[in-house]
Amino acid sequence: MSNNPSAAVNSTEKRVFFGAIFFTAISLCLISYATFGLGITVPTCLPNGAALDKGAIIKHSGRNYEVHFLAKMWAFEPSRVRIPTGSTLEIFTTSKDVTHGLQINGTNVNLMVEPGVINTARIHFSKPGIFPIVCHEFCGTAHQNMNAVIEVTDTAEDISAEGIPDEGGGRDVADQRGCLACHSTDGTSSVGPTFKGLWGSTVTLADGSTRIVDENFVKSMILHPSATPVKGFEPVMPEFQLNDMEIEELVQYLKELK
Amino acid sequence: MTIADTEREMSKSLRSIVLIELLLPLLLLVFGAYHGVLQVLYRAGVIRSTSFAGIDYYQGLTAHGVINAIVLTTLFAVALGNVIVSQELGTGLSVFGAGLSLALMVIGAVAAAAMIFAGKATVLYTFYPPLKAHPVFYLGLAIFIVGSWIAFYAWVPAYRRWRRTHPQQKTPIGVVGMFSAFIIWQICTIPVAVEVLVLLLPWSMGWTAGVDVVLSRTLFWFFGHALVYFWLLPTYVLYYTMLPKLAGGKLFSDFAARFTFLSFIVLSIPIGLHHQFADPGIAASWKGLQMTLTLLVAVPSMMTAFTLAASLEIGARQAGGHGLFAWWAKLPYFQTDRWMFSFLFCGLAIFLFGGVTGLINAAYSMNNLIHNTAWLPAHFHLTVGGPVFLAILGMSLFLVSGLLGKPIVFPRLALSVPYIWTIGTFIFSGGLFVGGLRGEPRRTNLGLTYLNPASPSYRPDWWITTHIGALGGCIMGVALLLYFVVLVRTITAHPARAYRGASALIPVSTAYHDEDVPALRNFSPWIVAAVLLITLAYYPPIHDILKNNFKLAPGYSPDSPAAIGKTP
Repeated sequence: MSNNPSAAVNSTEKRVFFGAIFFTAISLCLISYATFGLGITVPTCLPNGAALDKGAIIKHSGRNYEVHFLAKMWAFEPSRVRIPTGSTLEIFTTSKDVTHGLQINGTNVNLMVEPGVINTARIHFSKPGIFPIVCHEFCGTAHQNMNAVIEVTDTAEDISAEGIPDEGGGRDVADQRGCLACHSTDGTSSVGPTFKGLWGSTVTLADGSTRIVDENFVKSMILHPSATPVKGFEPVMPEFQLNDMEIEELVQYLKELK
Repeated sequence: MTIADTEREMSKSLRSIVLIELLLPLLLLVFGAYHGVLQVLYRAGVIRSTSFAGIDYYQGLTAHGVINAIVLTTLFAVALGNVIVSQELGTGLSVFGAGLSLALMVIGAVAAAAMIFAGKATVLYTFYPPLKAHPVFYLGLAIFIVGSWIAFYAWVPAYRRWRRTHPQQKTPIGVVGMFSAFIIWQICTIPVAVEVLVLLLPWSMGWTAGVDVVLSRTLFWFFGHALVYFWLLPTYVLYYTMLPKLAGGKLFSDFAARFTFLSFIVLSIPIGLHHQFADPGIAASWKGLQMTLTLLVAVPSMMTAFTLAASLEIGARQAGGHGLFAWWAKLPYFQTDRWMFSFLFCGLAIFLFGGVTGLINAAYSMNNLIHNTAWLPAHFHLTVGGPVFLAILGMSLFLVSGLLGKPIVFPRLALSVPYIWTIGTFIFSGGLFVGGLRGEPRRTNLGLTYLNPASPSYRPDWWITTHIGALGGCIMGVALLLYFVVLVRTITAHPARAYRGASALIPVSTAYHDEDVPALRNFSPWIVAAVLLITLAYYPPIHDILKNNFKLAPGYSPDSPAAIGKTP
């Protein structure tokens, strides 16, 4: 049945086997060097119980800062962090809802963000630049809108952050129900129109007709957005089941942003 | 071979079962592949929409994963096992067992697919909680897996019978390979069954208020990486049995084949944590332990690379090849009567890169750079989307042609499919590798924001890589289109000859070195070693997770940030 029946394993094959083992051992040595020598580690298990229910920045000694990122559908809180060059950030993050990801592009910070548990990484910024943070785990239909920015500048004196919401009814509704993932409050156009100055304005619908942004229109856009697609925007807004009180609070908030 | 030809004949009912197991997933693949092509277009911003032709991006992505990576691969493994076990052991299989297994798998697959297409299970094929799917989705997956177990149970009595009647013979290599795959499958599907049946299903039904996210993910990846080897081993079976024969040679070493399969039983499961390097809630030490084991699992794959190259060399030298490297030119790359060679050979060429990038992913600290970026799909389209997928395509065509007694129509076209696929895959993965290093996330409808110049999130630095990815993906689509032309024309052709069961369906090569190593004669010591190593690798992290008692999460629908039901 065979050319060379024997109980012994071919000698070239033995060399290949031990060569493969040797190669594996070399890889392991290199990885150990990266981990212990260069200090490039992966997240470990933190003691349970620390509270993290909103975004925050905390100053420690010198240029050492602690940043808390709260991930939620579909935004990071804070959404923009400005720090001086030479800062070291201790990052803590958790999720308010589903599983998210947090990668700071161009760095070794790459974390899964899960509800009920805190993840952590440390990073030093020695050069100025714009470092985008991208959510890299599918977290729902507007996952592609979820990102943030770390801005490292020589001009910044101290750390500052944007996108941590103030307390307040309408603002909370807009934040918690995810409106702010697509609607900005500072006048910049995003996936949807900005909330700033929207109240009372006239919008043109896809069919060419016009509507005034009043209480009825806001309510219809929240409950049945596909019924009145607005010209100039993708008809991508999902239906939100908000109750009358929440809609009333949102309307108040829109009025404030006028 | 001592088995008389007449004993090898497959019963008519088993033949029908195998044909359904091969053709049903190929039918579903039409959609799975269609959405593969659509995805690269969404990602490049060619399509800038949440949905196209009624299918949402993430809904299509879920279908792409579930159909291509679970339904197609598992049904193929069962079909190939049915053929190999009955052929190599010269025995009939329980038609009741095979039929019941098929029925459950069809019911499970249809139920899960129905939920996906109804938009009630847009949770991707990893179904990470707390995104919540319809209970029928979880139930369908569970039924599908149980169906695949039953197929295996139907082979065991045939194997026992054969061992009794052939006490002196070594188990045929194809059988060793298929049994290894299903032993791994049997062990690794238990944790995911626990996740689905104990954690997710009751939660999805509203019976429990919350779910432990860290525990769920750990149970999923307990299964998730062994799944990779369950995809790979049927392909390895074809590499070790069929490929040397197609190359006109012999299997270089019988020992290497057996050692490879059996060591996968031990090493393919206790390494799942390398998918969770970036996860919170798991100690870095346990991640480090499983990383070490992950590197070890490269050993049998490196031996495979050597053995297969040596086997091809035997064939090439038979055909007049000579020199240190010149013999590579003598392999049957473009012979239409051996078209199946190109499917297996192209897969191997792709796998070289899939294997190397796999080692990069496994390397603990290096994973920080690429975790969950486009690098990952680039990698696994060179493994499951390369050797595994090409072996499934080629072998399905080969078996359908053999079982129906219809020769391949357009063999030259069939021959070209794997080459076009290889070119497409290299371009696709090239784009995604570089994009991943630049931070492009995987599983993201990039066209709406990151690849949309009108969006504040626009990333012009991702333009070129996503477009290279799109070009590669479209070429892959063309390859598959040509494949379906050959398949459909072959099935609908008039039979040239009646099916003759007497000749073996799958050509199997003999061994050049036929060593006899007693430790490789039995599965049991390897299964015991596997259970010990799995316990060592998984008991401590799971014990920690349970002790930590993480806060349970309520469910969420993918389209709303409001929790479903009451908060635990």
